[in-house]
Amino acid sequence: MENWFRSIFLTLFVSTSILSSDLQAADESEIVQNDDEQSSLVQPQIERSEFDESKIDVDDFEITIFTGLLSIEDFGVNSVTGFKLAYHINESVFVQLETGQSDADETSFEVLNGGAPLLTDDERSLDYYQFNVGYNVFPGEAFVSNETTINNAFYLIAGIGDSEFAGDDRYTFNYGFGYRLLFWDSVAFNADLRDYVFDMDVFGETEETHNIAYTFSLSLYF
Amino acid sequence: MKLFLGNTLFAILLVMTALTHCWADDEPLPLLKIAEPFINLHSGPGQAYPIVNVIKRGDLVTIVRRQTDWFEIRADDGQPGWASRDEMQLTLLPTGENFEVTDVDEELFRNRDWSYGLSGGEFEKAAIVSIFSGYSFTENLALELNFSDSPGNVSSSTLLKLNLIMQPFPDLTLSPFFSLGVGRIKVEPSATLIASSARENTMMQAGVGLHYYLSRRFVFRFEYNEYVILSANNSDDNNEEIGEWKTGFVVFF
Repeated sequence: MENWFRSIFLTLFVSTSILSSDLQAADESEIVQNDDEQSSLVQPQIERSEFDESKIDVDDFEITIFTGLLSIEDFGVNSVTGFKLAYHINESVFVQLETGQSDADETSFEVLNGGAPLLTDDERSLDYYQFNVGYNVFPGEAFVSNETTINNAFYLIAGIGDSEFAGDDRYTFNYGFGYRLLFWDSVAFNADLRDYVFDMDVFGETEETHNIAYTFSLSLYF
Repeated sequence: MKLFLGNTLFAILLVMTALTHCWADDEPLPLLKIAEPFINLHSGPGQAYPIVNVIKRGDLVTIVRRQTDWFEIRADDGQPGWASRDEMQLTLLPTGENFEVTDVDEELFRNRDWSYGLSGGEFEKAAIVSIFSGYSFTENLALELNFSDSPGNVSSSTLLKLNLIMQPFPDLTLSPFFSLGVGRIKVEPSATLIASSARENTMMQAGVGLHYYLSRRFVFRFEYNEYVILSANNSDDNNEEIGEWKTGFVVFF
């Protein structure tokens, strides 16, 4: 059954490769013929414009540095820092890679027990990355004073990735929301509230943990 | 290790970004003449931002910058604002020609060179996250480098593979593809298990998938792959076979 399945794949793959390369060869020979016909016609002399579209400064990417607080379930609330890189696909949707680091505190058990640590210092470091998709739901303006208005947006964001904590890789997903204030056209301030969810088995039983983070960030569009 | 991985990914993406991103030089762009009866200028790059300014036919404007499908322009009187690509389409260059901005559409996707993407799904009952980068030789054939990370409860795997992607009908909006890949897989058992050390094997993969063009530089992808991990050795004479499904998206340039 497996072999049969695989041989179908192979046959399809090989036959489509051959078929498409044939088709392409046919297309190319047609183009050559058309070129011959056209060269005999009079070519109008149009002066091309100097304007080059690629000279426009395109600001679809956004790099972000963030810091804030992360509550790791059972391990206290600690500072978290990291970077984000986003690509804005259209006015509403953006995709983002996020990487961050935090150091977990001692659990209540460790404190009460007096000196028997559950984890080594290395295992206490929580390192994660997430691939996120964000959606700007309420773009608009914030009126700071009579004179000053600042563009802003409220966005929903969710993603998947991996966290390394307590000596293991843990599949992690996150969801939450954020608020963006565009101080200038290329510089933004963001506040995010997210829930990072992963399974933990440090206490013997595997349980789902919800780790809430709120972060502040500064980003640059380029 | 994870921090290292995350930061490496971050660095790679940043370099890719820098490579694909053209820095605009300081040379001033030509003045454009408005040909529509009028153009609405919004306060930000989006339809939902309020209209703060209107410029009329015959006015001259310069383009400051672009974000997605919106242009920040500055009118003669210094009033700034954002205009959509659709409204800018009829604007005239000093030579009298239309100011034509390349429309990013399916045609451009078919003729893409570089594409980058990410996807997530299930790999042998564990979650998997992948990041990939591809180069298209023709409309039908592309080569992809794929890095995957599958953190599971029993063990965690990292996969690196090279894929040949064959798209027999690139003209279809919902376009199927076949893939063949070869690479390495590294499996590390969970720290809480008293298990053997990490092992690394060669693997082969065959798969089918679908590309669906969404909008602009954005393509949806679904794929199903079958892996054969060449793990047969003296103590274990069977190769492992693993199924995987993933959904994700591709951004192309």
